[in-house]
Amino acid sequence: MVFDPRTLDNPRDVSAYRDQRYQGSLRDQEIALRTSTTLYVGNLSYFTKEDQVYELFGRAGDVRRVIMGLDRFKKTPCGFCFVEYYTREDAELALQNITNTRLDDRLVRADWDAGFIEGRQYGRGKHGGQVRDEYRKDFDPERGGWNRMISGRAERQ
Amino acid sequence: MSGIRRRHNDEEDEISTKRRKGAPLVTEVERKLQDIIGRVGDDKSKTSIESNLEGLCKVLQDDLDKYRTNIIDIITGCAIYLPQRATVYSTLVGLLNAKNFNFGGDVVERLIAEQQELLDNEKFGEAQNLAIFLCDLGNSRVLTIQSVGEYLESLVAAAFEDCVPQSRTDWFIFTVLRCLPWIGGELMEKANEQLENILEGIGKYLEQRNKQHVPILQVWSKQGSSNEQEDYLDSLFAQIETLKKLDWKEKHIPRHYVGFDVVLQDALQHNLPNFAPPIHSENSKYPYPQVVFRLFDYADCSEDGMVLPGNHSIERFLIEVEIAWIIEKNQTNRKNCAKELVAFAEENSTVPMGYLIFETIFGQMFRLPHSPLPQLFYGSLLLELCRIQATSYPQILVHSVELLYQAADFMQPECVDRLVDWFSFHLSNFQYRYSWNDWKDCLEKDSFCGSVAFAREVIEKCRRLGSYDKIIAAIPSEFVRIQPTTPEVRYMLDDETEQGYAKAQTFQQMFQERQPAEAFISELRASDPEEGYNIDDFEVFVTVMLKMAAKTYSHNFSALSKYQNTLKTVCDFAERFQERLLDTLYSCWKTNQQMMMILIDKLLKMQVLDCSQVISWLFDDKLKQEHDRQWTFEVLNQAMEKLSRHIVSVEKDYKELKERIEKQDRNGRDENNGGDVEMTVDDESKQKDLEELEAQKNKFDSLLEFQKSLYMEVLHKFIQELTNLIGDCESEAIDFSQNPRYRWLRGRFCQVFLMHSETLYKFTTALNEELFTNDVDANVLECYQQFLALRH
Repeated sequence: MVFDPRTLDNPRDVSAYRDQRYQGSLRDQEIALRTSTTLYVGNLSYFTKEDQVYELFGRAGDVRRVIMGLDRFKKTPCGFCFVEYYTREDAELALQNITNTRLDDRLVRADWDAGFIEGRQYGRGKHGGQVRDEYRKDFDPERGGWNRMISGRAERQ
Repeated sequence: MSGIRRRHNDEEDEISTKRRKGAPLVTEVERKLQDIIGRVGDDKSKTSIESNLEGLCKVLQDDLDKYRTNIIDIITGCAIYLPQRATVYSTLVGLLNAKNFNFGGDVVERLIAEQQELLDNEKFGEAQNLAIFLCDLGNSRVLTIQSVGEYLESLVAAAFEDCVPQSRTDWFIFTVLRCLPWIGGELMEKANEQLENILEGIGKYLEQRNKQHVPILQVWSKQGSSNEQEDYLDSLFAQIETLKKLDWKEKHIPRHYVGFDVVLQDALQHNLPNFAPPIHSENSKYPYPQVVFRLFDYADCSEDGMVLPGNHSIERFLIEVEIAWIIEKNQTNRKNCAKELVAFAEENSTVPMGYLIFETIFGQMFRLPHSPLPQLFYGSLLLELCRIQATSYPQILVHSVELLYQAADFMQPECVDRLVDWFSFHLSNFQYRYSWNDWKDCLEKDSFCGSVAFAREVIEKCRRLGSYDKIIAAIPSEFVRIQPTTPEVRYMLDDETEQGYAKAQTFQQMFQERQPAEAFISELRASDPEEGYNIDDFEVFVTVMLKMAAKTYSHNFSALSKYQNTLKTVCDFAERFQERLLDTLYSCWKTNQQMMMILIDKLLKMQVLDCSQVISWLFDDKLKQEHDRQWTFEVLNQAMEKLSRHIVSVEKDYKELKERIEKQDRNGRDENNGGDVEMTVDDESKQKDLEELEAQKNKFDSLLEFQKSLYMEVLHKFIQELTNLIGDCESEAIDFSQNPRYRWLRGRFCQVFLMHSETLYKFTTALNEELFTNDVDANVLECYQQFLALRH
């Protein structure tokens, strides 16, 4: 086969992030990530709605479904979602071109996901939201203001 | 939590060893060779390309025998996929050939074989890159100029083949024209007679060439504007003739071999054999013809003494091609793409490169019938360019949008759609800030004008990406005429005086009690079995369901799947129920077109609705008021597109099965020759396979038949509509060709041809005989003839 020098600058591989709670062997996870048609999308505003996600991610192809991430306790949006496509190519296109563009004026982050299973839609942080909202240092009005540790403290006082 | 985490290290080790074992055997040396050869043209800042090449040659010389095949492989790959570095690699091959004549011969042989293979696989772009590279090997003294001239002559000769489509012969001529900037100078000096023959042949070819395809490919329909979109071969030939007048002295190609003249001039040279055209068959697909896209002229970008190359100067073409190469190379990585484009602009600081980059990107975005890369990529690339060149590129972008807006009334609706999708995406990355007041003049125009469509649909799509409140806050209040209404569900049945009020209460109650789909079916059943179901009650049922599920798409989807049985049973009973379902959707969600589209799509997938019903509905009188909107045609084209995709996958399954059976047959026969075999088991499974094959073939055939009648129906609706419009205009003594509604619908008609060209070509016989007969108005027929000309 002829060597394709374009791969030198643009290697096609999945990112280094691995979901630590993946149920299955690492091997399965590697295979799932390389064949999946689902993206994890993060850094959303709590106020971003499902139809906006459909509109933006629909630009890359036919979306099978969107699953909005919810606070485990309050069942309200907590700033992430899963977008599932019908084909790998469409998902790849979305990943390459929507990551780091803005939705509701926030840079969204997308990455491969090994595939949605029931329960994954809930935040895994101690307070019900995403873990990153437990620790983040800045004030983010679209993600509930200060991080959950601080705002929790304020509420108790 | 730590309990859930698995021990990483063991398994990871296992995987990496396995991967090492399982991976194709790329050795360390090979990888190093790939890296040093593949990157020799990069990194110009540190050292010159010439000294890089010298160094690389020294390194390779030692490995030339041991890793011959690998090195040839890599060089071939670079010649195919890095055409913007053609002169770097032709120089490299020149230097290696000067030292080792046989090696040069092997490279040439391999390149020719590869070109044949690419052509057999219909990879015409890549094969063209190799043709340019082969010609450039004449410059680096690997090939005799005489033989390069003959090679090009044989390409021209191939264009005069009889009984083949023009799109095929066009490719031969296009290839020769593209090679000439590289080798024209040498040909003039050493093989002028051949050069004259080549040019004469091309001239003759272009004279007799059919150009009916041009209008359907033009982004703008207005003739005589400053951005005239010439046929691509005519334009390139004019550029080549200008270049010839300048004694083939172009100012763009970096000719690295010149620096090695001393080494190269004594090299032994090979002869390039004549070009062997690939075999033509009925199924061969050649590239579509193109038209040239120009957005800017001199006056638009006369800054800092930089001069835009004129329309017929070869530099305009060479620069555009190089930008296109950089884009193609980096199509999976917009950041690298933007970086390389900006670097390219900096290397060529005497040319207003920013403008040419934008022009090329828009040219690709609007290319018909299909853009070379996905629309979304161009959007994210433009964002990236504006980000890394924040002081200058955003201005060029705004300037482009101004020009595009001004020309929008004459733009093909397909291109307006693409423009809308891109610009709404762009604005949503800039808080919808734009000098909206610049667009005020469109508010007074007919709603079927392209500029109105552009403004209105951009606002609508911004609404979808952001929110109603945000976009209303961003646009001036005068835009009230075209601004979207709140995208909420319309529900009237809370009013006691409404006719369906009582029934609505019943259904609400039933939904709250979570009654099964079957209960609703009984509730809807009409007393008269002929009638089947009560159609007004059905409307109330759907209205209540939509209202209760209105909150999100997920609510809607789960309602649809829960009551799929109800919907499907009723809709299967008679077509009028499907029509009523669509009417009800529209009355509930007419202000939320995104919801309309998503629900119709879902109902099509669930087979509650038929494509053909949706199409009749879209062309019904009551929907005509929506024909100026994007969504109606988006629904239409998507429904057609999805059906085609489904059929393609069914066809693939069928062909795979057929192949498998044939293969088994062959194997079986081979085995039989070898002796006695137990036949019974084989026969049984074979029988099963054959039955399966038969079933799949029937499925495929009936789908194809269905598709044909559906597509014919769509085209028929357009013909009717356009003919009626012409009649209406004529009876009022208006020039229909200037009527915005007619122009817009005609454009939508062309859009169907362009978007579904691959499918429609399958049905040309039926289209010729049954639909596009001489009874059809010549103005309507014209669109079809232009479409056919794309594949002439």
